[in-house]
Amino acid sequence: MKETDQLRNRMRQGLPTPPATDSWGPRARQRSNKQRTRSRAVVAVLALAAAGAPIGLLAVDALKPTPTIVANPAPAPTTSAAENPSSDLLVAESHLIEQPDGDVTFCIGGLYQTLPPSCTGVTVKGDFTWESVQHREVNGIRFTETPYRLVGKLEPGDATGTLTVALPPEEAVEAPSVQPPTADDLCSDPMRDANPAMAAPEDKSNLMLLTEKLPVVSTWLSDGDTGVNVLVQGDNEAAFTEMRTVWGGPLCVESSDLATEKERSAVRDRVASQLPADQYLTAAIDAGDPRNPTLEVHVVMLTPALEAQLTEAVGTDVRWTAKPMFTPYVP
Amino acid sequence: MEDARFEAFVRERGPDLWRAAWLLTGDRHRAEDLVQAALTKTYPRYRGNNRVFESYVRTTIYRTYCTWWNRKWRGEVPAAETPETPGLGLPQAELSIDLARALSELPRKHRAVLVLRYFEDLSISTVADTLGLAEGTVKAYSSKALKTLRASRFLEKEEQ
Repeated sequence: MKETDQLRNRMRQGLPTPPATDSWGPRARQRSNKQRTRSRAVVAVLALAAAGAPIGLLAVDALKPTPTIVANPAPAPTTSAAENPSSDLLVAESHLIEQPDGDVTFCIGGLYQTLPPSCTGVTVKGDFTWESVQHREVNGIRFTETPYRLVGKLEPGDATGTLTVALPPEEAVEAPSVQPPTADDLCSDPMRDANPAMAAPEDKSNLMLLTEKLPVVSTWLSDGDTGVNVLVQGDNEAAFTEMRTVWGGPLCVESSDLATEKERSAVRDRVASQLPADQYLTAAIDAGDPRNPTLEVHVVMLTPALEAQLTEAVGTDVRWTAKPMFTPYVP
Repeated sequence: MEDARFEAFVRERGPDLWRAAWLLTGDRHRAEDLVQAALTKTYPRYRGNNRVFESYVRTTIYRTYCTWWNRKWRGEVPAAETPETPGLGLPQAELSIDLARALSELPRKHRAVLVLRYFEDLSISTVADTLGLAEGTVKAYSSKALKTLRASRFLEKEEQ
């Protein structure tokens, strides 16, 4: 029998008897309702603070996956739709919130977790009715609790325009949950010069403090939370020796020619200041594979002109990705 | 009405969801905890389409399992620890204990890949989508995990 078939059999035959599940449904409903109530009051603020966002503001562009254009560092080719975006339909996913004057806003950039919530964004025009989406109403303001996918024409193509919808709204597909970066060990012997007496969580905290002083390109944990992997510019052996003075657990340190975290951070600040405010949303300095970290810039819509501005603002030393909220609609 | 359908769905499909969670956690209570966490997260999205919803719950189970490493469950089940297995005849109990011990030697993502591939019978690309990994990474994890199991002292080798 094949090895994988043996494993299949073991997994199917070797299972214990499941417990009774009668109470699971009611319990899940109660917990969920309690969490949703609590989250409106407190948890959102804590999560936002932890994420470094302004208190009370939730980045809604993180809710959905969008196609990306990558430059490393040369600009990527643009699509024909992007060359003349205003003549084509675009698609995006976000929340819908009614304004006090009755206008409907498709949120861009942030969602204030008040009740009812509020946001800024583009005004929805065309054949949209609240009956076409699942919504709540609080104090006369209607809003969706989950993001919706809208297809329409955006004029002008920035965060100040109107979106004339062309198709009925669809509930957005749940985006992948945010996961810590993952990768395997960077070296074959992470236990070289290890000292188990210096492998406690506080030792790891000291190591993280130390790495802030070094030209670190990227840091990640491997295989659970035990192994520490660090890419540094320059002499990796010297960095390894220095890190071993505070951390005795699994450790791999290799050298890299890529931009350091601090360099990517400086580029992010430059991009934020140089891009038009009605296009720039946010940026992450450590997107993608930690071995090849990328500056990920979130924008409203990636036109050739904006891409040129981005290319100039980023410069030539940092690998970057543009992640537009609105992308060309493909039926 | 929708709540009643949700509860009926959980009653009916809960045991199967729990089996997958048990293979991930190797522990009855943690498996129930994991399924409960996934149901709590996904309940607001229940719209009565059980097939679609189950797929959503399963994805949430696997992703929650893979991301809880840095929060709730700091350590894996130690290989020497015997998972509880009430309600089993002895041969099956031994089989499940050995399987749990062998799986507990794997890193979380390796373990999740194996369960998705060989318990759920999903393709490489579906596993990659479920866990949010590249297909190459799934293949690598699968290969490494099988190699680890091959060397496991807890699994008796069967005749080829």
